[in-house]
Amino acid sequence: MGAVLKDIRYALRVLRKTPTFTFVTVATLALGIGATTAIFTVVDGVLLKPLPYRDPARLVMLYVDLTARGGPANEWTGPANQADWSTRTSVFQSVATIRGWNATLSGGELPESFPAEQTTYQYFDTLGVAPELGRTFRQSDDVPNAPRVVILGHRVWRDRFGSDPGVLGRMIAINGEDHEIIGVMPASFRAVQVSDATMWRPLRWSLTNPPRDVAVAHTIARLAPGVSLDRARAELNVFARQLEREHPTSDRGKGINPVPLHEQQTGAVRVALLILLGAVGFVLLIACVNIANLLLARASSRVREIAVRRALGADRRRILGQMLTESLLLAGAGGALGLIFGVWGVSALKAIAPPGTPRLDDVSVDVRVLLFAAAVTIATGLIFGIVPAWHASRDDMAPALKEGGRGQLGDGGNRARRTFIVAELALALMLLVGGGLLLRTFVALQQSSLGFNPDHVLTGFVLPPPARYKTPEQRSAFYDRLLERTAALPGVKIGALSSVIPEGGDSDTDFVIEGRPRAQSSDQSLVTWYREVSASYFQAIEIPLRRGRLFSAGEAAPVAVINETFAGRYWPGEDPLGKRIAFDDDRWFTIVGIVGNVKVRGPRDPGRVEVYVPYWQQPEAGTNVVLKTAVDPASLVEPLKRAVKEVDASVAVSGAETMDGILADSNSAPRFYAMMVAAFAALALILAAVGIYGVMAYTVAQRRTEIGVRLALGAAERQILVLVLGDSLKLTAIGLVIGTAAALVVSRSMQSLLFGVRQTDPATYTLTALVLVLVGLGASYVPARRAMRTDPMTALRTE
Amino acid sequence: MAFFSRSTQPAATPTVNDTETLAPNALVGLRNIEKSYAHGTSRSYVLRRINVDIKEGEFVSIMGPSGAGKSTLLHIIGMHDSAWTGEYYFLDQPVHRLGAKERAKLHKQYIGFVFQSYHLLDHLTVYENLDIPLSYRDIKKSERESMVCDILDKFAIVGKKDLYPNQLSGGQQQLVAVARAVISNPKVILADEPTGNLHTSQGREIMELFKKLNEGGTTIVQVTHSETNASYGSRIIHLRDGWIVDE
Repeated sequence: MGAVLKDIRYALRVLRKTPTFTFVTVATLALGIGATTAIFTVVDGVLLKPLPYRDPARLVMLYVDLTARGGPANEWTGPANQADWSTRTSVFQSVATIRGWNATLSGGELPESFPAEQTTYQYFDTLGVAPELGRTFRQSDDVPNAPRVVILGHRVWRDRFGSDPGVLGRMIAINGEDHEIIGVMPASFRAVQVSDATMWRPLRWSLTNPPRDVAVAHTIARLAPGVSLDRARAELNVFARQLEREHPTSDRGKGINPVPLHEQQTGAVRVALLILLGAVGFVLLIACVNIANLLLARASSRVREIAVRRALGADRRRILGQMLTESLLLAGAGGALGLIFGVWGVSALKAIAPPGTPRLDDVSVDVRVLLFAAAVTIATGLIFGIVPAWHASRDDMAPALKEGGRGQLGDGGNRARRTFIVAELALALMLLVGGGLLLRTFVALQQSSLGFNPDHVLTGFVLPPPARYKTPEQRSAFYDRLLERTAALPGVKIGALSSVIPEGGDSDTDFVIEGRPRAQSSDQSLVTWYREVSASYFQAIEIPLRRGRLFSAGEAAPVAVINETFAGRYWPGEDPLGKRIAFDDDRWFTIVGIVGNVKVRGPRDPGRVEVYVPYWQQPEAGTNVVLKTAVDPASLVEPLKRAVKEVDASVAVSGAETMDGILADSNSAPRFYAMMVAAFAALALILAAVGIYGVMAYTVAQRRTEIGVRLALGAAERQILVLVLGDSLKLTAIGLVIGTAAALVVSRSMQSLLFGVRQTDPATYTLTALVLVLVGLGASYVPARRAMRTDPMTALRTE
Repeated sequence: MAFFSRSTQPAATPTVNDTETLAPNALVGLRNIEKSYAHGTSRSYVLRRINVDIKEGEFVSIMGPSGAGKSTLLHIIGMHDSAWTGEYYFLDQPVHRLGAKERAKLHKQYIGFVFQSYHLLDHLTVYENLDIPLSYRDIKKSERESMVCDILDKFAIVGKKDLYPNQLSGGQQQLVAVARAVISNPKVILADEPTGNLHTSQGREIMELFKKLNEGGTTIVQVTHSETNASYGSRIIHLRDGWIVDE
């Protein structure tokens, strides 16, 4: 113990004596540990911490599996699924279904729309959460025509009701219907489907003989005690086959797919976050390598001191202990400062994280993070300290004690230093390649044509209260007025309506083609993505007409416009114009035009079968106002809200946003990950440059006499410059080869994040290699110039 | 190296020649060469008013106590040092007016250097050490090969061509160093205490070699502490405290 304290005291004294070295080391480590801690905090909060529900490992999302039909494995669910799964299986303790909902509260200056959920009554019990005030749903709340009740989220209770505990039992109008407030959820509650939901009400579905082909919701279930996911999966397979036999028309080829809730919630960001963690880990590793190099150089200058200690009887372990104590002290200081950087970093990351990143509220610096930071600190101390300490304790010290011994570490130290640099360059190259590929992905996403022009377009969703707009005629009349009023707003060039807008959700429907056999079961049904639009929609967002015509405003005959994929899929080599299709009510719609494909779900959208029908033919509940503007579209948000209020004072506009803004949001995740990896790559590059500079400067100092001799023998300055730069280039080349090979392997894990660029993209690799070579040469240039300017007379005299 | 301030200058007055009166056949002509270092407001002189002519074919020894400025003078003649004042003529070329490139060109073409510590490059073989000065003179590889083979023969070190310096004795290393100095056929060899690290017999061999080279027409300028070594030469320049005190 005494020896350890003595080592610490001595180490502190040594570090105080070399303040520049200590500062550079601690600052480098603090940056590395801080960045790592910040990213780990996010990874921990999003991926590792358990979800904020009781026994969350037992929660699963249930999907209809359509892979046997060539469809998705995670199709939405409906009332029949809720009925079947909750009452006829034994693997679940409870099952609940959730549907997104736009809740409009009037009463303020303008009606306000809130994200909300409609659920079956089992929702809160399934999750195992209790309300802060009042109660959750009962079965009697969740039957058709039951009196409307609502549970408030903490935020809306605080903001709209001043956290009034007497709010229970109060009636409020939501979407034009009276609802009794029966409960308030705690602030910590996280909704499952609509992550920022602030209100909940029962679905009030009739589960007696429900329709079997409705897919409008999501279902969550709690596994019964003792039931594993595998067992549930096996039993659900058997059950799905039984349903197939019972309902061959609707259920053929349908499976049941339970997905752990944690996986469902975080799966989309998992790869990206782990890549970020890997990237920052590389940066930390590079920082460690740099510090190891600094320590090696320093150990080299301390050879005589160490030799004296050895001569005075210190054994190798003692020397090793002394050197490691210094490393750990440096790491400790770096770790403490790094933790402060880490806390700042977490706040910054939370502020710039892309919208839709799950569980961001769960991200915080806690004991787990502190333990992680401590572990990283000790690990880094050992990583960067062990090699220099080992070398210092190993080398033969006798020459250092001889008169004139200049105290250099042997070839071992040099080899280690050069190996470190190669490793550093290889790591930096991997990061640069990763950052480059993600940046190119982002650029490709930005430049990708979506099939329409988002410029100067404002959109907002409007939901006429279903309680008051019950019939298609009422809705159609409302939409007519809405279109007329909003199109007349000053600054609007074209006003339009559409049930679906790009990046704004989607809906599909079955259809039949006149003259072709009808599907005998749902697995044979023809399915198309379905939009109800105004005649002006195509001009408003500039969807190009390929053939035929568009429909005109108020055109009475039922007509439809299809996209190119639709035409190619169902009438290959035929002319679809004049053909007729029908949806669920068997009215025939004549195809009058073919328009270009629109990538509704963003650039990665493969181009789906789409049909556009006039909204007045069968108006859905809810539409998007789409305004092509002559002025800045953002300036029309307030006028739009007021115009909608003029049409109906109880109707709010939700999500009023420019189309450019919507697309930017949808690209924010790739942008965020690209920027983060690029930032780490830049940091790695700077550290690598510093590392190369350090090693080359040290090498030049070591080779001073040799360079003096060369100059004395007639070497031109240029030849000395080439000698040093060539040496650096050799190290860079080895680093490039190793780094490229490693990058080719590691970048495979990024495949799912890439778009418009191959994982082996030669341009990215070439450019990255070029950058690294330039940085290598740049970092060596100063030492090389120093070598070039060596005064042979002085160099030869300091022998 | 000890430096002396202006107040310590010895009473001896050096001979002053004019540039116009450069000796006939002079390879090196130094006029009023001075080298000094500033220390705050004062200045320490290493060389004072050096005026020397060295003719082609001479064998000159520069002697004097430690700190007298011998090596500094040698490095100035060797054009390794350019931070001095005065006039320096090499083969009638005014070195003091030449830029770094021209000086380097002169140096490459006419001067060979031998050091007390040999300064062979440790990681190169004997052959490669001999090749180095030639490679700096843009000589073709085939030509270089024959030149190195010639010199290996001439110095009788063919058997050692693949050895590294640390596999040779001190005398052998200095032999290689001299071979390296003469390989590019210089007009003058500047030797800085060439036998300082050698046994007497090894030193004698090197001095005999210098004598032979001198007889062959190569000018030799050596810095030495040894009267015996100096006796191989035709002329001795004595330096003390930066001044030439006797010639």
